[in-house]
Amino acid sequence: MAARNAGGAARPGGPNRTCQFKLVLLGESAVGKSSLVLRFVKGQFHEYQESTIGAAFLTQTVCLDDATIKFEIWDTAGQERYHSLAPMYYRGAQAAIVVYDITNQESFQKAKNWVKELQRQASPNIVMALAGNKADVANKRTVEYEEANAYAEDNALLFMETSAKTSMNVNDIFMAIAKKLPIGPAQGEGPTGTVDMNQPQQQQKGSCCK
Amino acid sequence: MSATATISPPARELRTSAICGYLHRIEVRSIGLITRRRYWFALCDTTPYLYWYKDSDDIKCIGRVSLSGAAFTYDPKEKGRFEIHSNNEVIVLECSSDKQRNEWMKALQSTRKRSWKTAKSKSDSSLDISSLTGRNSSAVLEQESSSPSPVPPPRSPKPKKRTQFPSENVPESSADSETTVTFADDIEKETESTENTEEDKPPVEQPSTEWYLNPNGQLNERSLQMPKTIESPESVLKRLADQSIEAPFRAIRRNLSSWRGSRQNTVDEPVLGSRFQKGTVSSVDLPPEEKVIELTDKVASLEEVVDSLRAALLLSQRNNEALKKIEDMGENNEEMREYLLEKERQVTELHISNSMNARRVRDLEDQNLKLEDTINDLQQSVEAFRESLRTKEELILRMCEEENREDLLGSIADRSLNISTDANGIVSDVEVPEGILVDVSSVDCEEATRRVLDEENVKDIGELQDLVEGYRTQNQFLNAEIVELHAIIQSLEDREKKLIRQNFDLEACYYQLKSRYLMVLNHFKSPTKPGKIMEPGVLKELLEESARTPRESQQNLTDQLGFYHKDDYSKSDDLLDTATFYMKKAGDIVEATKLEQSEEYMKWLQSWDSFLVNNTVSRQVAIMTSPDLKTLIRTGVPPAYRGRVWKSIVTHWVKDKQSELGNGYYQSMLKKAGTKKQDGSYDAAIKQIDLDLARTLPTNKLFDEPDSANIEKLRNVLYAFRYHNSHVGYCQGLNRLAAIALLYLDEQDAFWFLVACVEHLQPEGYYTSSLIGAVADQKVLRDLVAEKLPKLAAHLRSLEVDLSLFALCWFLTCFVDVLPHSIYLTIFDAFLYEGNKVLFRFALALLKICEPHVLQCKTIGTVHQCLSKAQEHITDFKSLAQVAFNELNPFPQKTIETKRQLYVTQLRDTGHCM
Repeated sequence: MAARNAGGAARPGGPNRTCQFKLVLLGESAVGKSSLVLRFVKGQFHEYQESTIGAAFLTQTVCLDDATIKFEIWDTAGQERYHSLAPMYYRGAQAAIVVYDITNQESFQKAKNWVKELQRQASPNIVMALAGNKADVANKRTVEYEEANAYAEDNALLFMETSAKTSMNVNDIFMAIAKKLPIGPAQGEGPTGTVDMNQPQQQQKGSCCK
Repeated sequence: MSATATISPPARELRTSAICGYLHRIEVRSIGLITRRRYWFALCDTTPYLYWYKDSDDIKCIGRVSLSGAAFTYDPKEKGRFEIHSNNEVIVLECSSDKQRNEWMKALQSTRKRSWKTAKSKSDSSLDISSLTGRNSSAVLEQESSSPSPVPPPRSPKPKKRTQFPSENVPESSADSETTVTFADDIEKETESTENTEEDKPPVEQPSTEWYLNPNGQLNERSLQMPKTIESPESVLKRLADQSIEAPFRAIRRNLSSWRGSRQNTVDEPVLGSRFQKGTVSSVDLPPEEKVIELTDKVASLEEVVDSLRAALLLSQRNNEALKKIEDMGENNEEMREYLLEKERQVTELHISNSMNARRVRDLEDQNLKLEDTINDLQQSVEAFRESLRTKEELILRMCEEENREDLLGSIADRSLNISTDANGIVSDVEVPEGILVDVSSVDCEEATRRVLDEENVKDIGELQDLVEGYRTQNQFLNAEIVELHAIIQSLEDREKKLIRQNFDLEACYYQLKSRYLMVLNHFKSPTKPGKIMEPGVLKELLEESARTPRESQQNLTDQLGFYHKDDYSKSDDLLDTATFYMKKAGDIVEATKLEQSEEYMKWLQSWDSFLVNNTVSRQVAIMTSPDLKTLIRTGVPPAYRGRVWKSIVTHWVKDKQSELGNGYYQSMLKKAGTKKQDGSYDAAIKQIDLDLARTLPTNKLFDEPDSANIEKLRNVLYAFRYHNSHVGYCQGLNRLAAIALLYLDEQDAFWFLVACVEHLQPEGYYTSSLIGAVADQKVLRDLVAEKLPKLAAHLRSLEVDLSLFALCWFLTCFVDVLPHSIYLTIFDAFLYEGNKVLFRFALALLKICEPHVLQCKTIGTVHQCLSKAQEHITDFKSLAQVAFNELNPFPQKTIETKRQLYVTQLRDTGHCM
């Protein structure tokens, strides 16, 4: 489908490996997290995407030149009171997309908070991306591209303005993350391991819900 | 209640009335044994059945009878008893009074009327199917009464208005203007409309059965007239008397009564009437002495009659003479002659009647003689009686003596008791010769009997009057009954005809299509013989048709609740794929129809009907708690009843709160929300609500857009709740619950539904800012999985899979996010009644069903994927409920609560982080 095409031609029978990565989406309510995922995974878009309770789990595979990457995507709920559950989802994640709504300054502030929290509590090698969603309504923009870009650069985040509605940059941002992910056990070290699931297990064990 | 209104509009419009009470059911068993049992009967006009239960608060009925084609009747002789004839079965019921019976009959009739009228309106509305013949559509089955057809149906039915005479004041005939002035106009209108429909209808339409109605659907003349002669019981009696004993006896009765009046009114006048009427001269009932007196009375009175007749004769003769004199005196004009002729005719008539009377007198004398003979006979028998009495008394005395002699020490009291009972003639332990009862003193006995007889007679006449009155009302009732049954039969016949016609149309359509496709197939089969098998363009037409039809029916995109049909079919160019898809769809439809016609399904509906009827009639606002009801609710609530049931369950939970907060609480909360909004004081919760409104149940037509039908209601409910419970405020997920409630309930009830869910059904802290209750429940679930599904638990543990990643939203939204609505609505039924524990049951059931699949997964990723698709293994509610409610038992509430308490404290202590 769309995502596969964007990820380059799959090469069946090729010598590439399949690596699994856990990716989590975070951000304020109604910024378009679920829409981004839906666009990426199913190529669909609903104007009124159902609000997420807890989290939704989806998978999508993208092909890089030398590897196939399977994203296990955790699309989390945005409402403040679900915030306390977020660690459960970003724990052990190798990638995170922090989403904000370019028409909503508050959501950008919230995104910054998420970045801070991830930097503090998530895996140290987590690949983080910042997505300014709803780029299709740029005329109502309240968060300037430059502002966000500067912030992203300061924090070493991938940054793109996206639109789940027009699918602008949606696949690109996932591809960009995929490319940044350490592929193969040779490159993967410690928490960024791919199919090796030992790391997240250890992390979970250390948590208070055990 | 817009949502429910869409389900059963006819039922809503009608005012519901109900009747219930204890009645006796009388059954004749095969051996001829008559049983009489007391049941609680309930009739509710939302359903055309009469149900009976063991007791007034029972859920399961003992039995029921369909009223839709039933006939009701009663016998005025049997007090309070009436019969329901339905499906070749007769149910005899008895209530305590005739008045009650009338009420029941009225209620039964009105229910029946309602049921067939509803059925009629339904059949009228579904008639559009016949319009399909107007077009060459292949999607005959898919269309179902929705799309307006461009071509008018060939024989489209006129909106028929049947003349319905009010059952009680049925006009006797159209000419009868005096009594029916008030509704004369109506009748005229009705007649007009009938005539109109008659003109429009083809002549073949006449139903074959005709009883009391003429072909125009009007009453046959006089068919409902009461026999004029029956005016009062007295007149009936008179008439009967006339027939049996002729006129002179009236004089006798007059005399007798006057004579009896002097004798302290011992026997009433009409008693004799009734006795004579029977033709037996009460030779057995009355003591002989009295008979003699009566007979002599009669003779005397007869003589009197003769005297009076003679006097009358004399008088008329004198009259005659006088008139002759007048004539002689002159003025020989015509009038006078006529007058005289008249007089003479009168005289001859009098002569004739006189001779007739004389003949009667003779007859009576003969009768008198006969009666005297009987009196003699009777006196003889009286003598015989006395004789036997005497002998018996002697016998008794002798026996007493013997007994005394035989056992002097025997209990004397016992014996005297024996004797006294014997003496009263009630019990005769002692063998009495000739089997004649023993009387101690015949005089006393006579007196007593007479008194008893008097009473009996008075009762008799009263009863007789009642009976006549009863027959009159019965006649009226039965006439009304006939009219109504006739109307029912007619409407049923109409329906049958319509259905037959529709069936023909459909068949015609089907064969037409079939022949066309066969033609095409033939064409392809024999390409070598091009011939004239197929005309050009036919194939193209067919293709266009098949492409057009399924998508045209826009209205069928959603189901009754407004959920869009999940159409997995994405356009495929492969014809075979399309074919398989539609084959499957057709199969599903057939399957669903079969299921709805299955006996099990019917039984399920019936048990609900049975419960609701009794619940409705006993006017319980809140549902009661009982194990039977629990079992019933676990089978799911039929969609048509869900609104009612939910409302009463919600009321059960929140009634105390409601009465505490008072009427208009919801409105006051709304007002508060309104003023806050005007002040501009937006809080996060309100903002979140606004964001979520259009993002609630996007698969439902009533919610999918910001201006959809139910969005405003949803906003109100959530706003009101936010101000009602500021501790919870608004939590994502509540929007789901409120929206589900709004599918069946109105705004205010949906609000209380939400209150019940958050504050009563879910444990504390489920939706509060920390979600601590929900998080604790995840830990409880983990323990329960370890206990009930140890293999799964071990597997998950080995792969370090955290179940709560998935299960949290199961609990927060009662599975709204994971299961199809047909299943989660049924889960809601049980959840509303039993509370949060049900969620554990279903969560474990869900896990148990997908356990084998999870066990096959070897990595955390695959387990995640498997769990995220857990719902795919759930095909229907029944199998899920079987696991949830049976296979997981025992399932003690207490364990869950203890565990929850433990975890809540634990979480509080650790500062609650997952």
